[in-house]
Amino acid sequence: MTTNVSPPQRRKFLFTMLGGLGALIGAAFAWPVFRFLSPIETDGSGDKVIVARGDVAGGKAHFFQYQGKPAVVLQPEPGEFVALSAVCTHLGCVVAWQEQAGEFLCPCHGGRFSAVGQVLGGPPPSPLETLAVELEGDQLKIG
Amino acid sequence: MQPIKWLVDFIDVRLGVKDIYTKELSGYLLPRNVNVWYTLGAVLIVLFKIQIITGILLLMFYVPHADKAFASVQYIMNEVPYGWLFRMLHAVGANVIMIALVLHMLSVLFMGSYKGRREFTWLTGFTILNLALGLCLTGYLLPWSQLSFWATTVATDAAGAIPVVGNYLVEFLRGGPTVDNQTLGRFFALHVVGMPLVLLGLIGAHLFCVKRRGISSPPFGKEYKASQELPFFEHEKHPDGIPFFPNYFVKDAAVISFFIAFMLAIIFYAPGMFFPESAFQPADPFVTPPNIKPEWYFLWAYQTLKIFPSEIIGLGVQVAFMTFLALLPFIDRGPERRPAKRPLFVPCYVLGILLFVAISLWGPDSGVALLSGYLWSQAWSCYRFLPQVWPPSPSVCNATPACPVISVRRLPIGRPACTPPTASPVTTVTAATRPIWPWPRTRTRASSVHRSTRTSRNSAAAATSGFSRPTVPEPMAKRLPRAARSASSVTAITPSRRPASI
Repeated sequence: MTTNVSPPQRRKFLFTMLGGLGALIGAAFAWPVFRFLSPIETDGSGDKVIVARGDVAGGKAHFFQYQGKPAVVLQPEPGEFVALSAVCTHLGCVVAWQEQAGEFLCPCHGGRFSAVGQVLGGPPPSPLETLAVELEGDQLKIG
Repeated sequence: MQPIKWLVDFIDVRLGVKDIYTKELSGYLLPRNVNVWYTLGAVLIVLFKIQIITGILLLMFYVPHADKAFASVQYIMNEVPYGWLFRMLHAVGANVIMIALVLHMLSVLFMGSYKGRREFTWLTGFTILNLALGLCLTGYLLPWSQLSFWATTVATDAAGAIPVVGNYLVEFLRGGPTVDNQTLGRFFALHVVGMPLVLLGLIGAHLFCVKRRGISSPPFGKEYKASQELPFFEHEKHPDGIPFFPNYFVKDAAVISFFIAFMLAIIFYAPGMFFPESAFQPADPFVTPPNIKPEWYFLWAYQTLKIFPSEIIGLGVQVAFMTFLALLPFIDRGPERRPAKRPLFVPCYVLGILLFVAISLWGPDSGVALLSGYLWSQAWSCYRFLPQVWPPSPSVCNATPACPVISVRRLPIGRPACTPPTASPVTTVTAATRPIWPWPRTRTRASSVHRSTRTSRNSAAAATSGFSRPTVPEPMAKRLPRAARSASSVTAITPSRRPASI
């Protein structure tokens, strides 16, 4: 049987097939590497963080980890609890609680936030993220 | 094709890559009768690259501390997506590298390719083999399992046979009187940085020697030429040979593919081949597991120490043998390379291989251990790939005295459990000692049980070891309906709640 396919055409076909196969094999190896390097997913079951009420004294702040990020809970008024993300909305530094002034201060660029997370001054473009707080007996359920 | 051609021209104008291609690939001629054994060098380069890539990936999660190493490896195997794959590629790859290295050395010996002023090529290659053994030894300790701990204890203890400095040398190797965190630290540093750097340098030197001196032609057929030892340097050319690319490259690619397939076949079909049960138990310096022994490529040396009445004699024999091998090109100066024309060499070669195999299998349990490891892995493969036979009939169940504990993981929800005989070793295996197998999350409801059990076990292991990682969720559970999820959580068999019959 004769064929009209020229050698360059055969070569092109061969390279295309080999290229496609190589891409498939490459993808088969690249996908596990990508998944391995990707952040591990959470199912949300660990969303709520429990803090003992006794750890949050009046006028003081209690820092903890929430979903891998720093967060803070404080009691500005007796029996009133506020939980906030402790990450400054400017460039991601962690804010510090100024007990005397009753406000948060970002040590990086001087951003100031009120006890409920509102911007008081400095470069932060938005308030601190607020987290839900639920008081159950002697425990605070945050998140 | 036009953009590719444009890109190649763009680079070529600046770097002259076409010239390199012509000189090093299409214009690099190999002997016309070159055979498949010549591909092992390329195979080894690819395998070493896989080791480097998987090693870097494992480093992201591995914690080189005696209190956390085991838990971190379990975390990689069971929680990190595809962590099991990269760890298995690394561990099985090390064994496959040793196989390829030994085959490479044996083929060079058989074809007399070390002859003809190729002493440097041989010496660099032989050093690479020894360095690879060192990498295996140092890497073996890192999982900090019972196997790692005691195999390293035995291996480092062998140095104590050296007169005068033996005891000091043992402590020097370990960084203390016993294998401890200090040992782990130095082995880790050597395994991850020190030895790979030297290895890369040696591979470069080896390739330089091969390229500079020229590849030897196989000592078969009409094209055979005896090796020449000229008093001056000469690059061995093959003007009537075949181009490396594409002709020989295809053969290289085929054998590389074969080795990768071989490696993947072990990982998927016999994952327990190189992992005895003690590899799944955390290191305990106070309990030596029975029949502990080194990896298969160290068995010959291990047995040699035991065969002779004195360890120093055994050690001396090993040193003498390795020195002889290293200096072989300086000892065997004859120009003849054809095996049929080397009546002294070939019998020694065959007997040497037989001796290596026989000594390795000699120990009271060495051969048995290899076989049982294989059978264990086969048993697991059956469970993995033949789920439709579950549940087995009572006769099948009773005929399986060692109904493995991993059957817990294969237990589909709502089906009757296999009840092995009371004397089954399963009942004696505790949660901490149960092997955690390197299987990914399977897309079955049974995997929820499997995973719940696993997570509980890992949490327990993490708690005891002080290693803590955030609890990793069950992604597959999310894909199930809520009712099924709750059902799976109710049915989940945790180590403490596991029915006694399982």
